[in-house]
Amino acid sequence: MKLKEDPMNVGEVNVGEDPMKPNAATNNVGEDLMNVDEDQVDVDDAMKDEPLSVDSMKEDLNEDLLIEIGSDEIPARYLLPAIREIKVRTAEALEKARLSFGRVDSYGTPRRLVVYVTALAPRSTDITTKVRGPSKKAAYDSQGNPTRALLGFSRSLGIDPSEVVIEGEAGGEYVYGVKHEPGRPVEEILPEILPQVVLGMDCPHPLRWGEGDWRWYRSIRWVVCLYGEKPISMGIAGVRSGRMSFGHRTLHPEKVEIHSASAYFQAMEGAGVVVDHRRRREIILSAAKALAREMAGRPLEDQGLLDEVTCLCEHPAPFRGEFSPDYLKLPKEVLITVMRHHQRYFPILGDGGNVLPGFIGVRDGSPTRGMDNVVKGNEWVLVARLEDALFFYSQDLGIPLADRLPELKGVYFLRGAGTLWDKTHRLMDITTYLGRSLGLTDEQMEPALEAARLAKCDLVTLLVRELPELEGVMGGHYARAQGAEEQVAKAISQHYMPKGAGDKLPDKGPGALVAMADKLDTLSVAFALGIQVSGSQDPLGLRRAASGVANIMMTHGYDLRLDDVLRFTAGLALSAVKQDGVEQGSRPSDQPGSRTGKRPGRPRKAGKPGKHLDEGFLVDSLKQFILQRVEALLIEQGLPIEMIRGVVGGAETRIARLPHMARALAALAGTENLDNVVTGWRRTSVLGSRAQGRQVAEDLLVEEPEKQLYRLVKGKGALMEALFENKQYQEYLQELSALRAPIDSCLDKVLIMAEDESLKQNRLRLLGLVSDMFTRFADFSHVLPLTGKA
Amino acid sequence: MGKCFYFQDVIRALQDFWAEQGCYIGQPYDIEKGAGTMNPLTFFYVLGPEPWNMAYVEPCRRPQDARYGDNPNRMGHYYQFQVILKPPPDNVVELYIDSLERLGIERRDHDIRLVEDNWESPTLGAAGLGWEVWLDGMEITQFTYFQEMGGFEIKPIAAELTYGLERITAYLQNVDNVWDIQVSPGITYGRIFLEQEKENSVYGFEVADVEFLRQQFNGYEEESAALIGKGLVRPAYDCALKCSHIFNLLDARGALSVAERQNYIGRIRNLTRRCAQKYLSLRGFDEK
Repeated sequence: MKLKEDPMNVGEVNVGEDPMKPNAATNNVGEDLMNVDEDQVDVDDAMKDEPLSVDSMKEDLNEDLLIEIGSDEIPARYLLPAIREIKVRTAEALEKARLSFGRVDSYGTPRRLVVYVTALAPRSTDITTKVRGPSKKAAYDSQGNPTRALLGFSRSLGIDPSEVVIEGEAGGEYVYGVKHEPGRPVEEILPEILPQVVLGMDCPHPLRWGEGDWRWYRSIRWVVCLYGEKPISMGIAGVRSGRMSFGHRTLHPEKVEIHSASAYFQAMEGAGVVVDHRRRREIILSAAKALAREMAGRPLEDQGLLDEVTCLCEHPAPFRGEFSPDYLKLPKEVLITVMRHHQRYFPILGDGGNVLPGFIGVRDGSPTRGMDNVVKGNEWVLVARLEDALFFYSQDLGIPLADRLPELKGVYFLRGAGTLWDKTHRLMDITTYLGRSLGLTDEQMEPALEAARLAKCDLVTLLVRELPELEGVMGGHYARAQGAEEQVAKAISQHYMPKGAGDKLPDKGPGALVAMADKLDTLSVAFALGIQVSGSQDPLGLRRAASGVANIMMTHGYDLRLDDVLRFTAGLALSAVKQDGVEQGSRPSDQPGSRTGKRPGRPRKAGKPGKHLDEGFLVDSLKQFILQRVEALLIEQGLPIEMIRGVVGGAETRIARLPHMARALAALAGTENLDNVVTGWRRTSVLGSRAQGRQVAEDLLVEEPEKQLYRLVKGKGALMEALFENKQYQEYLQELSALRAPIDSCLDKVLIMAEDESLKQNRLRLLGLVSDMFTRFADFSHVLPLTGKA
Repeated sequence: MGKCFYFQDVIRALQDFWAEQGCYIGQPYDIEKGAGTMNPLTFFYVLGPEPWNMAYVEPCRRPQDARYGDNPNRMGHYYQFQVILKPPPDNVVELYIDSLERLGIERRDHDIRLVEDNWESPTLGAAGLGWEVWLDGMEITQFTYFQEMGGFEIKPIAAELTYGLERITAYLQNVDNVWDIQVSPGITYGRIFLEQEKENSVYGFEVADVEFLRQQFNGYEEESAALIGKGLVRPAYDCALKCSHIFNLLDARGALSVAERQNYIGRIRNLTRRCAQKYLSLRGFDEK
């Protein structure tokens, strides 16, 4: 076999690796044959046809394959996923076509997606498969002549009916034939599979263009496909492939002829294109560090920004620009946001994390020629933006946040649920409710209430309208500058936290209260409007909000009952939605009074009014939604899934307690205690659930074991209650475990379903009482498998 | 090719360049509009199957963006240079970069970048995918492949290039403020347009008679609907343009609540959609 040098010198190709050896990244010939054949097998699943032989590859004929899809600029956010996807799709398609190969790698720039396959076989493998045909009975008539069924079967295999064999038990005999599929040349196969590899990609928001209504990230302009030195011709989106590529848009706009697959990367370097995105990322990062050092600083670390600028260039040329230190009087967050989000610059930070008056930009082009234009132009643009920001900032500072409140009446929160003014009122109500439930005095609640009142005011400030990502943060700045208490200012700035998984939580206190109130309200209103979250469809970030609420409650240990809280917030949300509906219906000023007749209706984002307007249903859906996030958060903490599901599914709705309960339960794993607890639950819960009420009449207890069980439950009741409330869950579980013996004895010796109805009901109530002690802790059905008794 | 300098040079160079590419050099349309896309020669001609290549200067009125002439590059009235290429040639991006070189912006001496920016116009029922073009970090052009117009999927698609003429000229002249641009030897942009900008800012933000505008809107809306019924789609579209401009004035005047705003947008979209529908059906290209 020909050993290929890695043409990239940076990739992960294992030079000299046996291309036939199956490995995780590539194909597995044996398995694959089974897959291929599945389509052609006729009926019975129980009997798979077996491949008989696989001819051996002539490895010395293997060549590398290069595919380059040239296009208009692919949006940066899609590029890295596209690079990953095309690799997987290529490998799958080659395997399916029975073409063996070494490994597949993929690369990309805004203008090209590149796939490189090492040691691709020149032909697909031959396969010979034994295929089951009709039953013997169906295959031959009474004279022993082939029936039409047999003739059809042998024709489909390309064999003579006399070539089949009969196998199987008497009565279950079938005809078998041997199917031979010869391998085909790679030149023939690639044009059949590659167009679908490319055009079948999952483009989230594709452009539609051209005669064929092609759809892809952007228009495909050229395709290079080389097998070794040989161009393979095929049509993809109306473009014919060959060996002609194009260089960098400004450094080398001309055509580039590629002589062989392995010569590709070198050729593109010569045409100003660094094809490997990983290398571009490294170039940018190391240059950014060096440039920042010139100002005795470091570039702001930001993986997302680094990925984005990597995907915005083919030939990165980082540069450093400066701006006047006058602008440093802007809050740090404003400076960073302007540079990062609007200009895709790396801010430069000093030792203390302060912003220095400079930035690092990445040009796509020459590191030298015209660089003075580039630096000057970028500095000019940044100054214009900072000037705007400074103007907005100083204007905003002049208007006290509280004076903005009336303006909130003019801004919708969610369509169909009133304005931000209404939202502010709900925020204050919910904050008060949460504070009271946590036992805070009015005085203690004062800062949180004030923060809730002002929390949304910055949404109508000039700067937040311009830079919406600074919501909250600016409110905090303005409140502080306008003389608000520090706790209030901090709570305002923190009330959107956590903004995503792994983001910081608001501090315990006013910030956390308002943050919970805000998220609970958004969730309740969205659910009351019937807005659904499904798969990737979550434009309002409801999952994030639910996760935020759960995380704050659990981390800060807020001992709130989720269902009580949700009943409160759902009630507010429902009246908001109803109120909004009333106002809409009776607003006469909107009537156009036109001859056109039909007035365009207000499109409701919400689905049809229905179940979600029922409070019970609403509370329950919200609760389930939040509990799913609780489960996810606990999984992240590394707790066993059975224990998590157990406690989440139990009766406890103070979710701050669930992590402790899950941990206590996990500590029992593998012990006899766990077995006792689960058995105790299992034996009492089914019968107990049939009990009506929990009032056990002592005089109706006649047998000793039931008396004993009742005495135990009664005697331990107060202790167990105390253990539970004091979060002494391990001890509580010990007590549950100790109940097993008396439970066993009662159930083994006492006939629960007694003929005497009053005895029977009394016994069921006793078991109900006992099982409550278990179900209060968890739904142990999830834990059952761990005890080996499922 | 030397560098263009005056505002009028930039326009002339772009007209020459696109005329050489086979574009008809059109003239501005005589009704107020917020964007060049609203010119009926763009709106109607991108619907239907025929090729259409045109380039033109279009004045844009955006009362909401007016700043009393105080802002260095935000204005309530300015000019766009608009190119429509239907269907777009394969080398359309290259052609665009060539056009910058015609202005004296040599590609190797600058950083030219296409950054994703998708576009839609709710009042026109139009949507497209494309980029904003950055020149040394500054947005100078909006580059869009139209996918829909008037609510209808269009085929073939069209490319729309919208050059920000004032920005490009300011860059070429190395001035920070649009009002300081020299439009021709000895004449600045400010001398011609600054007073107009100030007066219109006062009008749009402070003076415009809201009741009068509402009546006008209703009147033009009725007229437009009636004309559509009579198959007179072009005058009907003119009335819809009037509605659009009146809506912009009401919006700038702060006269619209959030709900009303949506309502007005919906009403305009309804008119433009019906214009498009009627236009297609009159020409025998009914919705499939």
